[in-house]
Amino acid sequence: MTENDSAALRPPTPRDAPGYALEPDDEVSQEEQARLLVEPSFDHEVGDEDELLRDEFGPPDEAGYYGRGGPAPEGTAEPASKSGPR
Amino acid sequence: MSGVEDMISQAEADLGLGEPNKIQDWYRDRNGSAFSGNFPWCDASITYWAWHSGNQDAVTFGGDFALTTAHAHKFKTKGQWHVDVAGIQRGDIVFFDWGGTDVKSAIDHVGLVTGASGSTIYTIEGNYNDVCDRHARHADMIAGYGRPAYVHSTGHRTGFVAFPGRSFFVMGRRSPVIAAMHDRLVEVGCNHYETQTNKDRWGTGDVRSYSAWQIKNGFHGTAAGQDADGTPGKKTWDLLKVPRT
Repeated sequence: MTENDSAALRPPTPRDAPGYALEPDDEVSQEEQARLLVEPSFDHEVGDEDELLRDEFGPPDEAGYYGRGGPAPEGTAEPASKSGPR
Repeated sequence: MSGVEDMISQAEADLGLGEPNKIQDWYRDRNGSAFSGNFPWCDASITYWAWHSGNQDAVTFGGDFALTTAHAHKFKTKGQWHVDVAGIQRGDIVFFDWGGTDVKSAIDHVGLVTGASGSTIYTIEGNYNDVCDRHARHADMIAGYGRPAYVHSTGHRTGFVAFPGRSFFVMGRRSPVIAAMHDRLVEVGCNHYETQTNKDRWGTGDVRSYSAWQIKNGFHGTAAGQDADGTPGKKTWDLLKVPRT
């Protein structure tokens, strides 16, 4: 049993809507965590995110994901110059 | 096993994960039917990766978190909450507030930091656009971050280290990944080290030896910014096959 499992056995404490202030000793039960969960909004990408990720990890794989395991795509350059083997 | 690299490796294994998914199922099994259906799973991802990499004491304090505000609050009560974004580092748990405040009640999202370069941080995040993926973020989105007290355990690991990103390779960085890379460079005949001490610290010997590995693989130009300048890239990193240690 985890710390939060035991917390989940306690009756939920009345709270305000999301955004309430947590006091220093508060533990939040799993029921309360579930109740307060909200889906994040998804419109906060950095404008040049693809460029930044490509420079950091090299080009994406065939599925479009950066830095996954497996060999780099054929012809992948070292990120230092993005020029590829010569 | 435990340690920051195990935490990141666990997260990397889930890149591309959609929904509904195993993380939601796992969290629901542990914490009850209140987590029904397709519940938001960004912080459940952090919890899952922590428990599956032996880092639960460091990252979730032995508990489970699905609610970002509760998790951030826990870091604060433990004295491990930071808002100086300039100090953020690989392995930190970063909490986002799209409005740019440092008020924990306004946290919108959470991710695992894999690197930092200037004002940009690189993360792995569950449940952004309903998938697990890497992202680049800027400081103005960050409410703060928790710094887990990772404990690197010895013990057998399998597989190879995924390319950690260009920002990983900065002078003076210490990591077991660098020590493992050092040993591989020696094994493949690219030993340009002057000593075999401090193997876990990135230094000039690593740059020289890695440059030799790049040249061995068909890259040219050793000046800064050229293909064989000694700064690893994914192509040659994957070919090197650095074992997880």
